Amino acid sequence: MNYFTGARTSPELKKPSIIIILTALFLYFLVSGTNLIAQERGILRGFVADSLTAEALPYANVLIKELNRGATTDSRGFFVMASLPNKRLTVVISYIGYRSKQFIVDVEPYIVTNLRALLPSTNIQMRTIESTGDRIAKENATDLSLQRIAIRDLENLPKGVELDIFRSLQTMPGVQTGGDVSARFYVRGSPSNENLVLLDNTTIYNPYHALGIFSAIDPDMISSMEFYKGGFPAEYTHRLSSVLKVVTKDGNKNSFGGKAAISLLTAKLMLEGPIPSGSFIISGRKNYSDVILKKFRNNNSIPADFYDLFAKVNYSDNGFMQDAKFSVSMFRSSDKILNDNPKREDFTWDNSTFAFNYFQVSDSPLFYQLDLSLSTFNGERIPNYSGAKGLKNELTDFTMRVDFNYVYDSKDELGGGFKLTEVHTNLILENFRGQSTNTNTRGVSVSAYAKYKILRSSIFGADVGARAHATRFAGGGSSVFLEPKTSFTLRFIPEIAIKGSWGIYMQDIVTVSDENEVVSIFEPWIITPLYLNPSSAIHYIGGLEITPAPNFSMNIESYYKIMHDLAIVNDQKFFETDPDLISGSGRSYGVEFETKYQLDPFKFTGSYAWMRAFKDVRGKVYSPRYDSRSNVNLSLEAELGSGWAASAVWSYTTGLPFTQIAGYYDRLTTDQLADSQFLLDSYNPFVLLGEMNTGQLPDYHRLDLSLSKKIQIDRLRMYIDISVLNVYNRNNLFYFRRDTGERVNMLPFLPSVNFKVEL
Amino acid sequence: MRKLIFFLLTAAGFIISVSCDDQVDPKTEFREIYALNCVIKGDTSFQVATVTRSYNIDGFDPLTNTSDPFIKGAKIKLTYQSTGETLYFRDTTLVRPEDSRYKTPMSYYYIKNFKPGYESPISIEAVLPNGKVLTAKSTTLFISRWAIEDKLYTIPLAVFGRYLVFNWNAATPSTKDEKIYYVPELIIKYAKIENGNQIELQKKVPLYYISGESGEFPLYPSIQSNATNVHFDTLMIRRSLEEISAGDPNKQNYIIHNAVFRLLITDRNLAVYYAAQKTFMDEFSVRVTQPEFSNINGGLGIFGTMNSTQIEVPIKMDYIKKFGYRPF
Repeated sequence: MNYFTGARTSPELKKPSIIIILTALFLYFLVSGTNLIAQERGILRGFVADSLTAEALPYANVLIKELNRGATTDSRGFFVMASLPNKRLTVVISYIGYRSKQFIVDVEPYIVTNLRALLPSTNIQMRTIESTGDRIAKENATDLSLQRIAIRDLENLPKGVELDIFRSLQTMPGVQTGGDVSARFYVRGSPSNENLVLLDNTTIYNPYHALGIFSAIDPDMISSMEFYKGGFPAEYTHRLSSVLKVVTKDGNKNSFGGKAAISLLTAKLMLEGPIPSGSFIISGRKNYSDVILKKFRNNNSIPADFYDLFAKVNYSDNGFMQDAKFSVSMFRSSDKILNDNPKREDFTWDNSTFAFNYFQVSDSPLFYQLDLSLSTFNGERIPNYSGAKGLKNELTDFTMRVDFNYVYDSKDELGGGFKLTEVHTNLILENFRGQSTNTNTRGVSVSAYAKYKILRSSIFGADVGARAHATRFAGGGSSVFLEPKTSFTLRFIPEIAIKGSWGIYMQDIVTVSDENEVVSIFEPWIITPLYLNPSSAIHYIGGLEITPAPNFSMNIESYYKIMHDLAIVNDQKFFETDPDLISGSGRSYGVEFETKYQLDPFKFTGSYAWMRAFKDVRGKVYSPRYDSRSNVNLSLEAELGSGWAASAVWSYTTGLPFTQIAGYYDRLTTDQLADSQFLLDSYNPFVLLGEMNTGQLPDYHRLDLSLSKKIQIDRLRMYIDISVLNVYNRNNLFYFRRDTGERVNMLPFLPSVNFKVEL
Repeated sequence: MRKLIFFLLTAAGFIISVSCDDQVDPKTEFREIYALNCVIKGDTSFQVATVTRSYNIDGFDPLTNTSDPFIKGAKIKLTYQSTGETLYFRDTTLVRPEDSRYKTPMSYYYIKNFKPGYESPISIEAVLPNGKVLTAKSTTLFISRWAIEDKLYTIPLAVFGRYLVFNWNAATPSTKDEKIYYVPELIIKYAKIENGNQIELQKKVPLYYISGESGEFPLYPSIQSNATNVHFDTLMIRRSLEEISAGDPNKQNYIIHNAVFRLLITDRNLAVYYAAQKTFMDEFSVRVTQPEFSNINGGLGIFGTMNSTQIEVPIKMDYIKKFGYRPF
């Protein structure tokens, strides 16, 4: 069986035997999944939420005491435990920042027993004993390279100017950034346009504010995040490297409330409350000062103006439809850089999404969800009278997807879904002569996936799946593409688990972005042109998880990633007829260590990552700019009691590669070709460069401290957060100007205050 | 408590030790390399070549270099395949202007009597005094005088319209993979009388003006391979005529001869070299590399070919007088 029908030269992609084995395994378990029950068994399905707001609590820990069986709620707050004995059971549910609760549940055979658990919020930290459920739930979880983050996990970290979800990813091993001045992230040696960012299952194409310094997603509207650094399962597609899935809050279902917050950069307001049979949430953020922004640009002004707005309405009425939930949401982020000077260019860019979600819990242990979403991105460079050339990018993405998840009595799970996406991209570029080139492309992608999770054994778990694309947006080669994926966990003793993952990934929508730009305003998106094959990647990931004690864990992961047909901006495009993009290849490999230790009131997290990344363009192999060899992150958080919390984060990154100056020469300039003397008098100095990216910038490191205080007066909660970035004022080099030798540094010592009021 | 103090002191010591700046060395080992520049022209028999060497400086401003990088003593050979000729360049020097950063005369090389009359492969080889060899290949280009559409062109237009349009026939190279690139130019030829002397000058008409940081600057037709016509805006022609005497109240000191439409053709090497210099970045983006092109084996620079043809475009007397100038 051929899983890939396009013309390929890569021998690595041709592994039909693996596909056959995976298919056979999938079919075997699909048939055998229901036949393991030899006695009367029942199913427990639960929903865990905040007792005050009824907001779902994602990744809460569930433990059945008598059976020593655990589970974790999903991003919607649901959990399912199948194959439970027909008897009375004690269920303990715990969650960080909430008081644990114990429930007595009578499990009935052959039916689904529902449990609605409401946990009261508390200032008391989660005790280590309460994470037992989490540990047990993870015994056979196929969660290699996956980080699940509840927003409460981030609240004690130094917020800096703003709490930023993308910047929080930077503390994870294997995630590299362009420095303080960019929130763009690079995962395991891949460029940032290979990261999929989903907001409630809707793709956000340019989720950055202010030259990419901050993410456009306000953390106050987020309930949880899932971040796959690689090896992501079959429900995600159209990206090669990573997936960040952001799940938003539903809003307070019991009473009206609000939050107001102000930092040195933005002011924001959030309102939430109940509506008949549902809830709403509205969140908005707007910048009001560029005092802080200037710090990101060597004290040069950025006349940036940005805002983001999110609104969501949920409706759930059993009288209308049993166990169904409907939600309608919209998100908009808008940025402008408008100069007073008409001789300077202006920029505008915005993202808008509109989504409808229908989530259904059925009588059987089945969840299914329908998502309809519209996502647009518009970016424009307006030259005014600057002499800059115009650029306009428009993208429209309409997606319909259906996903389902069924839990067998054997505890195995079957997942599947269908996705239809129509994307329209339009890129208008103006060249030096003022001529426009218009790349207007429309494409439809139809794909379906299925995956089977083997969870019947407490020591072994596996996830076998594949996504089949019937059509692709565009690009050369065949329109059919198969993305097989598998991952496994083997826990041969309770303290140690071995994990592995393999998969093939495809991407057929790319950005026209020059990786040699250390700062770019926005990255224009286009469907992969017909003259290129869509990009593909193979991930090989291995991992070892060691948990010697409930409050101490270590994770080691290593990966090898091969990338084919990468769409690279053609730096040798000299004429309009030359292609904008050319094909390249790449590979990256690395190893990551992470350890966590919790001893109340302290929590320590340390990580180290080592990696190498290479690109091969026109037969020339080089390290891309984000190839950082070593990366260390150390964080210490402390709950000091009485609402006080403190944290320290130290980050270290080996200097990034750059191209050094190898000298100068007087280059013949050809502006005046007709001038008979031009060969004798038209010479200007030009920088002679060394081998590409063989130099190394100085190492980057920075210490951030934070002290926060929570004050609660009845329902009114106030948060004051004082952060100091770059405590020892390390002059981390951002780049230097070759023409002047000017050194441009990243953020200096920067104190910052955030104040938030919550009602 | 002792442990805590020890920990704090260790941490403080570590922080102090790492907080000092690391110096970055933006420069790597100096790369000695040579650039050969030669553009063979089909409209003259005087061909020129230069050879320069790379240099290093303290700091980052290459304009501080005062050591002349132009090399003399190279042996440069030109081989023209269609006639089998091998020609050797002679070296000479040129006195530089006073404001040049180099105080020595500029060394260059020339051939006096070579005017390629056919489309034919041509190659160059330069053997430098230190034995290094630079080579390159190209194709000489031929263009007929009749390539430009033969019709009456005048300034101002003889018919109603805003644009003065020139059409030409695309020349077809005999070499299959070779492309010809065009650079059209409209030039006003005039003279200025200074102290009783008549100084011959010319003014190029731009397509339009664009605004930059230091004010407006003209944009001239660029190199293209697929263009067969060019439109000159009559407003730009008028503005060019005005600019001839801008700031000078004595308009009678200017004698307008006529205008010339010249069509330059270049080979791909020269066209790419030209286009590589036309890159643009906006104010906020920061790029750390620049595109570079060279077709010289063993070094840098350009070996290209070009040719040209032209027709006269008369400027009507009444029109010249409107500006206060004297017709020729």
